[in-house]
Amino acid sequence: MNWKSVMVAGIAAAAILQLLAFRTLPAFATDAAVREAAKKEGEVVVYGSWPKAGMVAMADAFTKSTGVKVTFTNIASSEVIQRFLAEREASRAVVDVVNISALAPFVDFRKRNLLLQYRSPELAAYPKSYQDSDGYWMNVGHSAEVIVYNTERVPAGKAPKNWQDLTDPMFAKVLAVPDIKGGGTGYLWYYAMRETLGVSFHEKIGALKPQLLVSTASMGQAVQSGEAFVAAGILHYTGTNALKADPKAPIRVVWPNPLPLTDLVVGISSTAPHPNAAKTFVDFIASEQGQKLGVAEQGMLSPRPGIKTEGVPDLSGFKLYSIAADRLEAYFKVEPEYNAEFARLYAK
Amino acid sequence: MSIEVRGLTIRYAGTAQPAVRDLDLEIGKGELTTLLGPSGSGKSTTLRCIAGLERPDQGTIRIDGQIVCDAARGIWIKPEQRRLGMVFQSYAVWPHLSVFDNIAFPLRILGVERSRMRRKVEEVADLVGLAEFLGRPATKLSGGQQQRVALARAIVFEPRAILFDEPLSNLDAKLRERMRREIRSLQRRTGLTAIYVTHDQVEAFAISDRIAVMNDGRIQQIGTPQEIYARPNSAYVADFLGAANILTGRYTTEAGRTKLAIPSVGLAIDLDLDVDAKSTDSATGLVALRPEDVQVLPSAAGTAVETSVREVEYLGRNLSLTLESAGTELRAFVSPEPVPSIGQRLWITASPNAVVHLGPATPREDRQGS
Amino acid sequence: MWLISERMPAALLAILVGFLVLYPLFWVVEASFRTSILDRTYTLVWYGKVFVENSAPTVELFYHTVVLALGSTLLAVVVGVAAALLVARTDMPGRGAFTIVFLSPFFLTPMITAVSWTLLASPRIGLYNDLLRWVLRLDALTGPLDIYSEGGMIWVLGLYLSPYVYLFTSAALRSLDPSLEEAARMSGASAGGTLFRVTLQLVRPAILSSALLALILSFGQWGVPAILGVPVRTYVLTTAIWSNMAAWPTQREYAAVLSVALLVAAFIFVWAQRRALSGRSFVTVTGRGFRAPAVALGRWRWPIAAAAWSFTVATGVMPLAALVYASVMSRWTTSLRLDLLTLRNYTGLASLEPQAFVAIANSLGLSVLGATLAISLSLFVSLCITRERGPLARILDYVAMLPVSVPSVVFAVGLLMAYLRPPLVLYGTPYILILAYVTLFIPVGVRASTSALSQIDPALEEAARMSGAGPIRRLAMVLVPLIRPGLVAGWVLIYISLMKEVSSSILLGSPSVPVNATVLWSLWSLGAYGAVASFEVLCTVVMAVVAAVVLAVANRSAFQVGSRP
Repeated sequence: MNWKSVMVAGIAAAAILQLLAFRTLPAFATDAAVREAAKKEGEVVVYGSWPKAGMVAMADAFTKSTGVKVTFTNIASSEVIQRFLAEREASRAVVDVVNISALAPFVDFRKRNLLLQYRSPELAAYPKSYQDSDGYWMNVGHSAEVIVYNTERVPAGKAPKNWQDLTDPMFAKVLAVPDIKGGGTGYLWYYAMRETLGVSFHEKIGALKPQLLVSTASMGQAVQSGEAFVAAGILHYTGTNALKADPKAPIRVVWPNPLPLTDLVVGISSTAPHPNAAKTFVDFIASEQGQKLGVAEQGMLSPRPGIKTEGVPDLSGFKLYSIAADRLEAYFKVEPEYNAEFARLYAK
Repeated sequence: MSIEVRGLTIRYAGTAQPAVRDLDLEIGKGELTTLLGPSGSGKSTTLRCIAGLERPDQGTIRIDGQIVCDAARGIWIKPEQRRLGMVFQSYAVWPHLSVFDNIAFPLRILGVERSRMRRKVEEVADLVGLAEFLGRPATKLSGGQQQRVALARAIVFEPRAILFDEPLSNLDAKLRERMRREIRSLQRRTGLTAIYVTHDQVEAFAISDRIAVMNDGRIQQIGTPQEIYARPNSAYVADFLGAANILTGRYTTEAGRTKLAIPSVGLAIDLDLDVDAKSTDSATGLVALRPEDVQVLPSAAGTAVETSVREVEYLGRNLSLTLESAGTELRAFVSPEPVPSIGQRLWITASPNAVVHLGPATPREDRQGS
Repeated sequence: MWLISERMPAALLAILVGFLVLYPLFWVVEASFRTSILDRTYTLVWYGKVFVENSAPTVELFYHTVVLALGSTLLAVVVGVAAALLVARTDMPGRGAFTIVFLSPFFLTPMITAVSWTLLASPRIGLYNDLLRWVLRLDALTGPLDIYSEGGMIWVLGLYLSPYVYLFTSAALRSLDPSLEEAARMSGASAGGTLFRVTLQLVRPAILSSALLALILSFGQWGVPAILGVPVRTYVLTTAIWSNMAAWPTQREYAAVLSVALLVAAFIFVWAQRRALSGRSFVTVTGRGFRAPAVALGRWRWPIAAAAWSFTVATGVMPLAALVYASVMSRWTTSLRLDLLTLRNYTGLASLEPQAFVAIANSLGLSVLGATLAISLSLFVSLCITRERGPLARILDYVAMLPVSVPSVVFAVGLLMAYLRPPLVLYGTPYILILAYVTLFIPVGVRASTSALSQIDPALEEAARMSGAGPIRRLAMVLVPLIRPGLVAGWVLIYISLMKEVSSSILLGSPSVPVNATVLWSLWSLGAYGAVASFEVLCTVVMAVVAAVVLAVANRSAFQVGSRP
């Protein structure tokens, strides 16, 4: 084969790939003018705390369909907030889109006029509570706080089925729960249990002297290794993803009721250097294709009706416990009190 | 004048006394001048100022007429631009270089062409007796050889003068003597102006054209070794040079003859000569009596004073005796035979010529030579 | 003393280093007075919150911080000095291999070291606990060891820091004039008496200096207390700062106040050390060309070797081995399960994290560049510190120590605030990481090059000066070759630390330049523990190979420093 034929073959292959790419492209709703402008901007800069795999899958598909490059920085929520606020404080506009696994920061950002108002055409498919009334942010995903246990340590018959089962003395010292100081996940779990099951639930759990862990990743590790027999208030994808990777992993995910949900919220910076690319990308995240990718790659729960996540049961019978925007104030008001209470009940 | 120092003063931060104060020094071309003094007398500091390694607070320094330092006018030539060779006490031979590279270093800096450099290094190495060591790593040499490397390095680039900072004090006695002869002959042959710093008066006498005795940051006396030895201008110099007995004397004139009485020992000496200014009536003055000039007699004679033997040290060629009279100790050198016993009585006297007159007494006590 | 640095613009250097260190710190201090990040009004309310409203928890934080710092430093000194004595002063067999094994904990990040230790000594699944329960015939399901405790933190952090003490102390021991010890033996001191009354006294400056570094590093340490202390609600300043930053609403200002408090505490320690060392001459430890004779251990030779080797294997090799084991298991476990053996964590790494290998390459490049710049700048700082007598040099000495005493979580925020705005807008470029790396590790570089320089007879440089060499040629032809071993050691220390750097890399890094820390975080947050282990093992291998090659090449023709006989 000489170089000419190599080149011809290459061009042919590229053309076929191009065709295939376009063939697999379902449309997502975006204003045509916005999309055109997005192409000119050519890039969208995203800071996000979502698990990377789903975000990367979304970004790749987005770039393929729009030609807009996604520059994605995967860091923890607190670091997303640090960077975003620091940039705004110094009047250095770098980031276009921020996503954080918590709603509260967005409510605050909106109050401070840090966000761009944008009503995505895709939002029509979402319930009202999943968007800011004026279109400053949208809630595009959930993680559920569940129970995961180690099947080698907990006999099948004694496996917990609901939150109340965890108060059994057999789980003394072998139960792991999130530390209230470990960011939003820990506080949501404490709050949700406190509000729905009462202080007595925490009194009983606290009496078992559970292991207090600061991240869902540490809890997953503890329960996989058997250091903890059971983890409560652990994000569901820690368990479902592990089982997806290794179906023989000695863990089971239990979906208790009520089911606390953390939010995956996205917003556009009001000083975004690429506002149209940002809008197009938000449209894509909210679209059916984007949601399916997120669900498939990172195991998140989609608020978009009709999209199911592998390994997650039908949640229609569950009392889903999430903190809507209008309840945030009440939610944070009791935080100092609950912090102190936690310190007392879970004292070493 | 090859090197001229005027009004040199340097004060270190946090010290009350200046290390060198208002020092003047002139050094002739081709001359080897030694700065001699105990540690802390400012001799090394003076040398380092001339080298440029220290920056004085006041004063001027000229080398071959060029002003290299004038504190008042802010003139300051960096040491690397003064073209002076220097040999350090610690040799300062670079351990990461071979003997050749050590010696060649200044030539490399000057950018001397390779073959000329090699010739020059070999020539100098030959001069200091290192010809066969050129390829060796510097660390594989003995102390004496390392000092030769340092010497070769200091002269290889034909400096305007060479400075020695106690170059021999890390060597053993025998090697020290040999090296000092070699340094002297090398300096004579090359005709280099040299300043040599040492605390060893024997070394200073042996090597110098002139000696500057330093004390407390000043030059106490400067002159040829002979001048300094014969006519020390102060108790300090006399003491530092010869372990002399420093005593307080009283001069009286009777019938035109001057007499010197040393009350602390009870010695009285007739001075035939006129001791110029010192011979005023009843004037007191310090005198030095070198141990070799004390005459020791086995029995009483004339004006000899009775003493008793306190210590006896055998020095080979002679004995050093510590003699006590009326509570004052004196040192005397005598022939090695016979050896007196401790406590034995001996009588001492001194010839008028042997007495060194040091001038008016300071309110110091009499001291035995140390 | 009139040396190289005087003609160099020493003031300029001081300004540069001062700027690098103090400018980000200024933003940390500034943050502690801010009402909030977007509100440019100033207040003392955060100080009130920390020291008045929450005074009891603050006091407790300080208590735990000081206990952890002093405890781990003490352990690091005992272990590090003992190892240095064994290697540099005795005829213990296998000293060369022992050194390598002893230094191995240094190759892991503190956080991963702590995670490895949970595999060994966590109450339920810890391998050592399994062993102990079996040997002691204990019936309990947990214990007897509990790594999740104050003692556990001190243990892991102390061992982690002991290589620092080892490196400094053994360098000093090697250049110690043996006649000083011989004099003690001739004065009737026993071998042990000589050790304690003479040898250790003489290398005390090196021990104190490394102890100070260990102390300050332990003050700013986050990984170990985060993994081992937080689960039992034992917070130290760094973890408290971190939890304030992680919480919503973000208590950045509260964290800044705690950081300022930590900074002041560290400053006091540095000052105390300077006082303790002042007037103590390092000159007795000048590098001269002698090889100290080994102390014969006699009939204790093999028992001591066995004890030393068991200790270092149990504390240095086993955490690494546990990590390697975890990296070849299909799930996170320490139990001996051959059925779970897999290479999937290695083969699947690239598909799980496509940037994994790019990140290692980037980290390698940035670390090499960062370490080279940091050690070069440190060399000039050290020249200024050791050769200048003025107040500028003393200030520089303090300033250059500050970056290690600030928790890196907060220092990173300072760097972020500093380089987002004019005059130096570096945010978003790879340069900001380089700058952060250099700033963070100036202290380590300065320690290393200062101790190397202080062992050099000044006459060696003066001789070059008298030979006509100007500052650049003196540096290139004399000083750098002379202190090369010290510089190389400093370079390797910084390079290894940079390969492991987390906080700045994550907060300041740009997505186009992924580094080890970003990959580690994304794997960890995915819950891919096996991949975390395999990635860490790969990083460690790359790190160790490069370090070994550099050490071998750079020190191939190493000579004994000094020129006196």
